[in-house]
Amino acid sequence: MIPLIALLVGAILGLLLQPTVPPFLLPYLPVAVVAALDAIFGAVRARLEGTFSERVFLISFMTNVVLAVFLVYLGDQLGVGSELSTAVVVVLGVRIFSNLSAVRRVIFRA
Amino acid sequence: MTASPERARTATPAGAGAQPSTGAGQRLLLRVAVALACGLLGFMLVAQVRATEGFGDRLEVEREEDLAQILSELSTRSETLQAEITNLQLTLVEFESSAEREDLARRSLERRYDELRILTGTVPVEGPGVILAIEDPNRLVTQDLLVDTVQELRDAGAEAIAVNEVRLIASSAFATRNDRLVVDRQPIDPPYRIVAIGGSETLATALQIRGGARDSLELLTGVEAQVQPSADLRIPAVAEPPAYVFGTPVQSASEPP
Repeated sequence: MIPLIALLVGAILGLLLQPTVPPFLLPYLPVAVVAALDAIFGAVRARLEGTFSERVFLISFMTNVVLAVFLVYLGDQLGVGSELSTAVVVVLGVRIFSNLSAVRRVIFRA
Repeated sequence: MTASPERARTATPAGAGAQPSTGAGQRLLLRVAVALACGLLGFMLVAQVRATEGFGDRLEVEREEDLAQILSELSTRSETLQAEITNLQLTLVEFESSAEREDLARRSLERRYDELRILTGTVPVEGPGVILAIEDPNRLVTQDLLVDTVQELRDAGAEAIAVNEVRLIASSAFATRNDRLVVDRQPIDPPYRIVAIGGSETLATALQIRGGARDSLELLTGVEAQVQPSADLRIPAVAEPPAYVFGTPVQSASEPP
């Protein structure tokens, strides 16, 4: 419950503060968001399956975000930034889907 | 995050309730961190969505067709500007060449001016040519003979002629007054000295042609004519340039340049 409230508070803060994303962050913010989403959905799944651990969530959250951003940065340096960011988003998307299907299985038992 | 069985399960083997206060503090810290992470995600989400809506990074999120559209617009604009550059360069070249043409016209006018000044005798002239020295102790040389001689010189391409330092121009005339030869109202006396500027070889040859000017002169008793080519002669300007009163130039489109 608290994390959900925190999420909403963050979103409202974002709406209120109207942050402008620095240009050098523009290519990396989307993958960071998707990576964080993946961590969140993984956490939801773990919570429902009864294996949730704050430490694991925090570490996966951090590493997901950092790794995704780093990969895209590396891709930029190698000249395949857009392709690699697509790859990262696809992989994370697949994981999000599998996490969601696990959640669905727990909730609906199907 | 209320007391859930899995946390109890995972916590039990590790902590085993040995340091419950520290474990609780750690748990609180972790929960706060999780909440912070979730808040961060919300913040990032909104920021990203807003950035996507923003104008500055439009290109980042454009679809391929839109990008192609933008690209084609930009290349059209680039082509237009390129054409403008070419036009301006052409204009520049035109101006340069017209300046060149003006320069050319000015030089040709200057040249023509010089020619006309020589022709009208308003300036002294120097250059190669011939001197025809005529000894005439008996004053037998007539105006006709001098006219013939001058004609011969002009025929051979003489550009400027003077008889006894009197410059001959278009309106020059020979006459005889009281048995003295007169050129343009200036009486001249022997020995006559005719100076002509032109191709010295051509002029000399023309004068010495068999039955030509020199021969005709030397038919007269006592007359001795000597032709002497020279590389550097000088002819004075006409004393009084004639004033043209009656004639005015006809303005014509087909006037030679």
